[in-house]
Amino acid sequence: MRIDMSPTDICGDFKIRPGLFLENGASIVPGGVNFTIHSAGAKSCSLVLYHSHESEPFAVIPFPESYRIGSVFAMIVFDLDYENLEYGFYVDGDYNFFGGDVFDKSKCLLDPYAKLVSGRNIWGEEPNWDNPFQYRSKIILDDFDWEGDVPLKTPHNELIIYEAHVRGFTKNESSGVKYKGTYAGLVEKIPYLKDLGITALELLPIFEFDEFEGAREIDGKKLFNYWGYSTVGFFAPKAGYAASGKYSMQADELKTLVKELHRNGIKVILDVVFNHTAEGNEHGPYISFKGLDNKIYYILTPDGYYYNFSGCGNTLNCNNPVVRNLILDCLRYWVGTYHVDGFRFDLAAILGRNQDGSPMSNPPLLESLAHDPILKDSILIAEAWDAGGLYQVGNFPAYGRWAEWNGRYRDDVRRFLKGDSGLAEAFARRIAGSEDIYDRYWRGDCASVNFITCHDGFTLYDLFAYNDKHNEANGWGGSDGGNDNHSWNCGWEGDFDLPADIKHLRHKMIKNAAAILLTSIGIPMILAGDEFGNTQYGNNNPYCQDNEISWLDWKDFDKNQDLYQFFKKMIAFRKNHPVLMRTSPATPIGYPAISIHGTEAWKFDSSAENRVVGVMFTGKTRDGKDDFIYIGVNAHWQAREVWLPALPQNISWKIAVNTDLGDNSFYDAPITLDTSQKFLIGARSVIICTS
Amino acid sequence: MTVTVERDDDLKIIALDGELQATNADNIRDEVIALIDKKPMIISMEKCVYVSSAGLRALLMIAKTAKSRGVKVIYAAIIEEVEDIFKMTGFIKMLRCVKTIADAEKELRG
Repeated sequence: MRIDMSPTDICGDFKIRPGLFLENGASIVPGGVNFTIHSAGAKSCSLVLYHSHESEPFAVIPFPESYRIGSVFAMIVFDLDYENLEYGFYVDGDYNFFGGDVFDKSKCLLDPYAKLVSGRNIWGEEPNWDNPFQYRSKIILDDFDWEGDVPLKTPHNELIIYEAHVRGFTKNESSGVKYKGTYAGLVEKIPYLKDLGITALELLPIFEFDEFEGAREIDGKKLFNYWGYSTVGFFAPKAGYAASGKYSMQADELKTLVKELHRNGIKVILDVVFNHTAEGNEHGPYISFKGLDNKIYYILTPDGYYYNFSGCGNTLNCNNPVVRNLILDCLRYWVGTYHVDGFRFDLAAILGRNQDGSPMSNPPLLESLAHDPILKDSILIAEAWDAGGLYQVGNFPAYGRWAEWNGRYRDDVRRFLKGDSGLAEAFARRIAGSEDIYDRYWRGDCASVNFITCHDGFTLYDLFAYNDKHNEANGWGGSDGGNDNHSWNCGWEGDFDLPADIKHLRHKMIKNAAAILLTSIGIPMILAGDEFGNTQYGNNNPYCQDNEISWLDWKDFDKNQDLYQFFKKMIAFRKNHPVLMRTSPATPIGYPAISIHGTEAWKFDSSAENRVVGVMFTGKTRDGKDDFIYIGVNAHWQAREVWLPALPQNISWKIAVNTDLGDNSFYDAPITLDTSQKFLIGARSVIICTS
Repeated sequence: MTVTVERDDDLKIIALDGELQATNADNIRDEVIALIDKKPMIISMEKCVYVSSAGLRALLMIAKTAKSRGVKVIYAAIIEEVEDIFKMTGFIKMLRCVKTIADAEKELRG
């Protein structure tokens, strides 16, 4: 029995005592619940208690003056039924908009450290808009039986990332799972992920957000904030993604997903959004930060307006020490409590901006993240740009720790594959690890996350099925979504009345992309569904489409088995060749680890009209033998003859992949080539040879 | 919620009746744990109409305590809504659950 866990005061019907000042948020203590919150500008603060889902609080308990140290308010309230409880805070302070203070004691604020948020428990269920307290902090039982699980130790260079949306992955009827569109539904699909062979699952945002933010109706269809890049609660898993969300059991459900993925050797990476919050600009709602310390949490103009480097209304003031702590606490929480293995940071360039918005050379937040003990083995991936024009691909402050989404990989590979001129050299560099962007000495072999598609843009099928975006369903008259897609429809826009030869070419182009992605140096990332030709019908920005446009259509899995089998075999191929992961520094005598070739071996043609690139990787197999891999890419519309580099005596090239061969593109038993080493690569085709 | 010992011969059948949640979970847990001796146990869930987060933890702690004392515990006759909660949260894999009391008896005597 602790002497600081018994009541000291009475407030109305409640027994209370000063709480735990070094904690954040709410936690269960013997006999009661501790509530801690801080606000530098607050004159006073009250704890507001509600029974679950009720509009009116059953108690408002002001923090006595003696329950405050510095700007921290802490109180233990005894004898609460913590499962039937939601809470928030009234915070009183100055209102001076132009000075950055916008305190409003009439607003009930969400605890920024809330581990559960109630109010949007069932996805898409219309909220009670008359209720002034929309996002409601709840108390969690944080314990969980991990049965020995910890974040996986798989080295970063063995990552093969699969980017998926929790809801979109299984919401379609065709997914065949019981708990569609949820964490539990994902658990049911783990055998599929294991069969495919990916080693990491990257989830689009799963921090609590409001799918009703910006909800609209277009042509009788309800549009939602489907992607969720707009955080309401940084410590709370999205309840609407949990089959058990109606019981507020989302934390257990998500932890079970992580545990089961780990059991199957699959890491979990979360897409996290620290560049802005769901509070928008001066016209947006009060959720939490505005009413706690507006000028601390947001980057404001000198006259109190919100800088908009995120393109979403506000910009989180990431390098303020208080905000920095919040972000660090958050990431540490997700690793320590949910065992996640890493993070992808949305618009991460903002994390390196100063409190006045200018870019910093040594941002304390990024430095702290790079050296944090809990995060030491976590993969940190930056989307190294922001909407304010800061583009840091290649020079994101990395401290030898950060990887980046390689946007240039996406663009150069897309353009070369569709036959653009002047791209041969850039394309060769992208396959070879983009050392022109990421200096290997400083950044290692895992700095480049290679991707050809991601959630933001065309799917891989659509990349070769549409010249133009078709975003009419988004309701913005086609003005939204990127225009620099570098896509090519193979001669037929869309799928209506699709001729068989065009379909055949599209499948070949998809296999070309898969072969290149999975043999490039760096960490490959696959967009979920690309492995079976999932389409978004040409929509390259379906952020609001909670329907068949975004949901994976698993019927395509049956229809496009050739694509799935090819992806699966290419993933296995990558895993079987450590050369592609650069795990061993040793190379065969006389051969460099990486070499670039043209139609003639060892002679690279960097002229604008060259569309034939060969890349050879050498190294050792797992059992120590010399290993040679040659990737030959012909992006020309006619077949081209290439000379393969000569191998040492007694070793011959074997053809392992030829995307010109339709359903037989992957040789389960590679065939030895004759000694002439000459090979005719088909039009728009990729070959892979092994030793 | 009430805890009733329905049978106590070569094995014990303990019935939970009502809702298992934060307000009673600790007490119910302690009450059932106090009934653990050497005999295999069947927890009849037929009349347990709801299990909350705290309730799940109570059931898990009962199972773990029994296991640590070398006693088998099976949860049987779980109503559909509660079984769904077990499945969604993954607790179904951490607890031994069977369809009927007869199934549980068969397994324990097997």
